[in-house]
Amino acid sequence: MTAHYAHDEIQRTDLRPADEVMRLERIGSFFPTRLSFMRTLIRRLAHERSHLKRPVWEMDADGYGRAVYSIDYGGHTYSLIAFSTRLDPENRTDRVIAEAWDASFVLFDGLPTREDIHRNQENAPKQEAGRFTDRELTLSRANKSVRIFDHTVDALAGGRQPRQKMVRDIGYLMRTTAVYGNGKFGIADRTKTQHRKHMSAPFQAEMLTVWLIRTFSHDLVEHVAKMKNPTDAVRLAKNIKRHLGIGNSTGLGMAPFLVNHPVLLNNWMMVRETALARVRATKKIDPHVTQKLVQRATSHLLEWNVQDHLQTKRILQLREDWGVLHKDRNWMSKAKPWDALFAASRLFGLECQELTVALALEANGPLIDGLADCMDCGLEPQLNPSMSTSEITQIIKDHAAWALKSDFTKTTETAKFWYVSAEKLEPRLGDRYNEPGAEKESPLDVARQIQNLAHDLHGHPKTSVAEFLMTYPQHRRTTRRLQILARFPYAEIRDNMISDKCKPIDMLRCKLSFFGASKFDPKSDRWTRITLYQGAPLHDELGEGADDWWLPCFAP
Amino acid sequence: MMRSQNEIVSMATKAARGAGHLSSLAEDMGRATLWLCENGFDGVGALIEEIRSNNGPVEYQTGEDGITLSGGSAACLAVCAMDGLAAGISQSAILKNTENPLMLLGVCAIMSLDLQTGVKLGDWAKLGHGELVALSENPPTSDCTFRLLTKTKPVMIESDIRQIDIADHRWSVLETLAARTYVPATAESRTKGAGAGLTDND
Repeated sequence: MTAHYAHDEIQRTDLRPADEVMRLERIGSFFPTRLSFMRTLIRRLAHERSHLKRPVWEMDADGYGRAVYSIDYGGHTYSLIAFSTRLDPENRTDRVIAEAWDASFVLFDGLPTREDIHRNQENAPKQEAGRFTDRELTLSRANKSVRIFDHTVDALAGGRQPRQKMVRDIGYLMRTTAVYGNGKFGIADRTKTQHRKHMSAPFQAEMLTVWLIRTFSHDLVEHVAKMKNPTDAVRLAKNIKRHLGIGNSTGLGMAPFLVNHPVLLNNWMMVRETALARVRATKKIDPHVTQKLVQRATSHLLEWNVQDHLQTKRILQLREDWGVLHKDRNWMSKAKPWDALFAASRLFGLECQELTVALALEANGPLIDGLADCMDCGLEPQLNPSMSTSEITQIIKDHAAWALKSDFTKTTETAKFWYVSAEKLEPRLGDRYNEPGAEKESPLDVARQIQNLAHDLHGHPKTSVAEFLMTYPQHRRTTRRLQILARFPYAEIRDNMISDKCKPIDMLRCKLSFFGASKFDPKSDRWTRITLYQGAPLHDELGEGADDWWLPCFAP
Repeated sequence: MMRSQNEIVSMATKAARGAGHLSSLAEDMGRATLWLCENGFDGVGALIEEIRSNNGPVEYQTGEDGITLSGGSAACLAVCAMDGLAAGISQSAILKNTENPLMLLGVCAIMSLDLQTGVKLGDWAKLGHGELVALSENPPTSDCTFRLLTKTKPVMIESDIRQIDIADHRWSVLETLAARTYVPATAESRTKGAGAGLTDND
């Protein structure tokens, strides 16, 4: 894919309307794309040919100790400081309520001194109970997948590779259970690195952390095997190592983020939709590359197996839809081939439609990759008090009619409430009519608040927002959201977040797809396991062409 | 203990909510607290004083002298005054509550940044685009008249972000108030949360 586009060559179709895109069911069908944050990071690292060093490796024979990995990137040095500690099996849990983990990590801004390492060794294993400084950019922890970790140690020590089925079915040696950033527990605020161009895209420090943790997990398993059998142990084969990503259990903690950052959400979506519109308008296609990607997606779907009944049904349907959609290649000879494929995909389910979007983007990197620079946002716009109440009413009619559809007098429409748990200060979802605490509800009931505002606006048709809010200060937040929505169409998820039909898993999949996660493995309607960086380049593979790892498949 | 910006804003916002302030106002109070701390004022002290103060409805009158605002907390009055001035309801706004001048200053500072304007708080303070331009030694003791300043130049804020030391006993007060927004996890929540229901040693 070496095509280059002059600016005036780039056309685009209309964007998909927000009423179509911003529905829970659709965003809950998203797939990772080349605009996902992990992909952006890898492209930039590859472009710089960043070189990873391991200045500290102090591990005992059982793999307990500490390590430091340092990488030069964008004119700065970043270091992962890793601590591996012994953990009794009965204390191993992926739950956020855990108090001990197999490994803990910080991403350090610079090259740490012995004192920095020591200070973090005192704190990182305690995670939320520790305290950090603004030299630390992220804080994370991970547990081993004991089954595959121990098996891999035994296999490598015995001169063999781990069983391929196990590598394919599990796909990681360690699972992270949290990656904290932006000032949590005293670590650096995002504002510290936001102005660094290579860190301006969302979640880059977190993505870098996880990529380095993956390297650590590979090194650790090889180290323990080597210690077990110094003479005959072998290293992981490249293809196996590459398929071993990092697992993750993701719960409700992620969901409110999308509601609380409307402009950021808009920007992610706007870039994705703009990219799609560009690709639909192009007449260019590389049939060879495209067919290779279609085949890869087909293989990936065959390797995507989960226990969840509903997701299994969706995967089976997707495999069938994808097969029918790509039964022939006639679409490739149309005047606007990608538009033709996109139109054809709309006859199938949402998973198939969104996989088609991801395919279209993947095959057209030169046309869209530059858009990845537009996914961040500066300060969220604040209230415009000069606007009139009639303008707010018009905004509701034009942009928030979806919010007026729910009947909030029905208990089904107010069945749930979001709250922050006293135990771990994490977002949770409660059953309003069967669980206590609804009076402490977090304000994620956007549709209901818009209805309440619309109701109170009736009596004040011709006044300024400023004057209206002096009487109704409770509507300040919602008024601001509506003003944002008028300018940023993808800023709101256009569904009722407290309905009995609301499935948080849809929000999680949306956000995780923007991270670049794959193999969504829902364990309930409110948490999922995923893999990160599966198939991604290893640290010694950064270079031209390194970023070709969309929907990886295990090819022994 | 040293606290990050995000910790201060989050905790201050939650504390204000826990004390019964509206979510939108609590967010402004959180940001104002950080601004005060960053500018060398006792932001947490101002917040604690604020959340213990009158949280009733704002009353306002429009007369020849401009808008007169009374009732409500200092933060709420400051927000209403800045909104009203920015909307052109009048050229000046008289605030009847000046019991917590620091919070007035903090809220006006963040709103002058949001509204990209300057503001004069009586003879006490001048703010421009989120920056303190002038401050006299004597805060207002009775009514305070706000006026927008049209000639304040925008200031490029070159923030050299550093963490801020907040006394632990002060932080504890905020934590106690914030805890009022938390809900004890139920058995239902535990059985449905991330990582639940699986063998973690797999």
